[in-house]
Amino acid sequence: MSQLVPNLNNVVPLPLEDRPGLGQSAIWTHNWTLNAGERVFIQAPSGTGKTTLIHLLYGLRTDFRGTLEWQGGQQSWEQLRRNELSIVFQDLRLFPELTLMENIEVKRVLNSSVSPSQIEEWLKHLDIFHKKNALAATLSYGEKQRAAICRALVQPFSWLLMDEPFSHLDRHNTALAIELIKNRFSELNAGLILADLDENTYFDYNKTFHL
Amino acid sequence: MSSAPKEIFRKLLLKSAYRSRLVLAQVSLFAGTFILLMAALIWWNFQVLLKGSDKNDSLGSTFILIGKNISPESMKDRGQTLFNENELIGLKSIKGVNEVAPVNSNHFPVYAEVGGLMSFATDLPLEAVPDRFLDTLPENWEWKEGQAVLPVILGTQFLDIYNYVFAPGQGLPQLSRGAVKSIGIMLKVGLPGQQRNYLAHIVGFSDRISGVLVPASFLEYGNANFPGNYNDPRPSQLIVKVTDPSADGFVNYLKSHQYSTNSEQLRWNKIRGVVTIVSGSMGGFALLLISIGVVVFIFFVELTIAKAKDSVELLLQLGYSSNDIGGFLWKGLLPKILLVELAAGISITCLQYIGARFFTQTGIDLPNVPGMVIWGVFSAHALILIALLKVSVNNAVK
Repeated sequence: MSQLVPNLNNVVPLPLEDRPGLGQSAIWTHNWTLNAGERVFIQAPSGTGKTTLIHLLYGLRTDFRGTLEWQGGQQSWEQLRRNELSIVFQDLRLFPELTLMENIEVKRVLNSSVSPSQIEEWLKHLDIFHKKNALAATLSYGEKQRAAICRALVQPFSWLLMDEPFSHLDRHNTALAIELIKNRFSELNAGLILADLDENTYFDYNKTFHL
Repeated sequence: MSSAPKEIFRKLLLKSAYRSRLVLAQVSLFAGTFILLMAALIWWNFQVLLKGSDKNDSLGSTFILIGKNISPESMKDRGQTLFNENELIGLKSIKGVNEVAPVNSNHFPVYAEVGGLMSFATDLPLEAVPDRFLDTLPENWEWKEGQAVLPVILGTQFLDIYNYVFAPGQGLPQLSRGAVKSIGIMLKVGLPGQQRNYLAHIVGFSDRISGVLVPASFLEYGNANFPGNYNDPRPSQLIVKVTDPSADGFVNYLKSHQYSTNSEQLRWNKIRGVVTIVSGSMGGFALLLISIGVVVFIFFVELTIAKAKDSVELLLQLGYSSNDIGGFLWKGLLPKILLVELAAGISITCLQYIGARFFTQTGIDLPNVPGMVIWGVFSAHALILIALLKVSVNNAVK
C-alpha cells in the first residue's frame, strides 16, 4: 500500500478568507494530515468550501494561503492523477461528445490496469450497460453519476476523492455503487475522502471532519 | 504518449469544420511556399545565366574577346599586338575573370573553293579555341590527323555578311543555315606546290565568335606541319570568361593595358541590375506571402485547440499531460505540413523542367532540375516552418 498522505498547513482558500467562523473549521487554518488507507468523511454545509477542498487536494486550484502537499509519493500532478489520486467530481465532468464507454476508456488507457470486459461487468452491476454506446450528453444525471464512478475506479489509486458522489442516485443504485467501490478498495487498499452535505453511513469511516 | 485511443482524441480535439479549415491553411501555406521557391528559382536561373553557363553566351554573354589596340606604333611592329604568357597570367589574376584562353589562328595559307551554283574561291582565315569556350558543340566536332573531312563552325556574323553584303553584290544565292550545312567546301592548305586538300563541312554556328572556327587539333597540326609566311605562335586575341564584363576592376585593367573589347558587353550590367531588383522584390513579396501562410497555419492550430479548450482542460484533469495532447495534434499535423512541402517541391521541380524545355527552344540552356541553392532554401524554409508550428502547438496546449 502506498504511503502517500495529504498534509495541509494553515490552508485558507482565498474566496473563504473573510468568512465568519473560519477558525471553527477542523481543516481550514489548521495543520491537517491523514494516514494512508484511512476512510475520511468531510461533512460540510453549503458554502463552507467542500468542493474547494476536494479541488485543492486534486490540484485544480492554487488560490489559497498556507501550504498543501502530498507526502510520500510521486509529486507531479500528472503522475498523481494517473497513479495515486482518483476523483468523482460533484459536477461529474464527462465528455458530452463521447459515449459512456468512451468516457471510461479515455481514462482506462492511461494505465490499462482494468480490462474492458471488467468495465462491462461494472456497468452491468450498476445497471447502465445498456447505455454504454449512448452519448454522455444524452444520459440522465443518475446515469452520468454512475459512469463517473466507473471512470474513477478504472485507474489504480491510493486515494479516492469523492464530492457528493451519490447525490442523484436512489437508495438501490447508491447501494450498488457503494458495493462496487468497496470491492475496488479491497483490491487496492486505498484511502477515501468523501465530502457531503449530511451525515451518512455509506462507508465505515475512520475519521469525520466538520468543515 | 499515453496510448489514448486516437479515435477518441480525434472526437475531442478535432471539432467540426476542422477539415475545411485545414485545407484552407494548407492552401495558403502551399501558396506561400510555392511563391517563395519560385522567387528563389527565378533568381537562381538568372544567376546561372549571368554567371555564364558555357552555352549561354548569346543570352548573358560573359565570354568576351580581347585584343590589343592597334596604334601607329604597333602597325610598325606586328609583335606588339600579340599576347605573351605573362599577359595571359595577368588577365587571369583579375577578380571576376574565370578563364582565359588564346584564340589561335592559322599561320599557313588556306584557300577555299566552292563549286556549283555559288562558285567562288577565297583565302580563308581560320580560328580555334578550346572546346569549353564554344557556345555550340556539334556531335561530329572532332578532327584527327589523317582525317580528310574537316568540321567547321561558322560565326553567325560571318554568314550574315555573306547573305546581306557579299551575295547580293556578287549575284550569288543567299543561304539558309540548313543550306550552308549541305555545302562542301574544298580547302587547299599550305604553300603552292605543297598543298593538301581537305573537304570542309559547316556543322554549326556560333554567336560568340564571328570568324571561321575549326577544331583546335587541326590548327595545332597545321601550324606545326605547314610552313607559312609568319610563324610567331603567340595569339593576337584572347577569349575570356568573366563574371561581370563591366566590373570596374576589369574595365580599368583593360584600359590601363590598352586592350580593346566589345563595349556591347556593358549592357549586361544593366540587365544584371534589373534582374537583381526584380528578383529581390519578388523575394521580399514571397517572404511576405510565406509569412502570411505560416501565420494562417498557426491561427488554424490555435483555433483548433481553442475550440477544444474544455476537452483539453478535462484531459489534463484526468491525468493526460500537455505533451500527450500536443503530441497527438502534432502527429496529425506533421504529415499534412510535409504533404504541402512535398507538393511545393514537386511543383517547383516541374516548373524548372518545363521552363528549361521551353527556353531550350529559344536557344537558352537552363538546368532541368533546381540546383542545390533552391533545395537549401527549401530545406531551411521547411525546418523553420516545422519548428515554428511545433512551438505553436506546444504553446497552445499549455
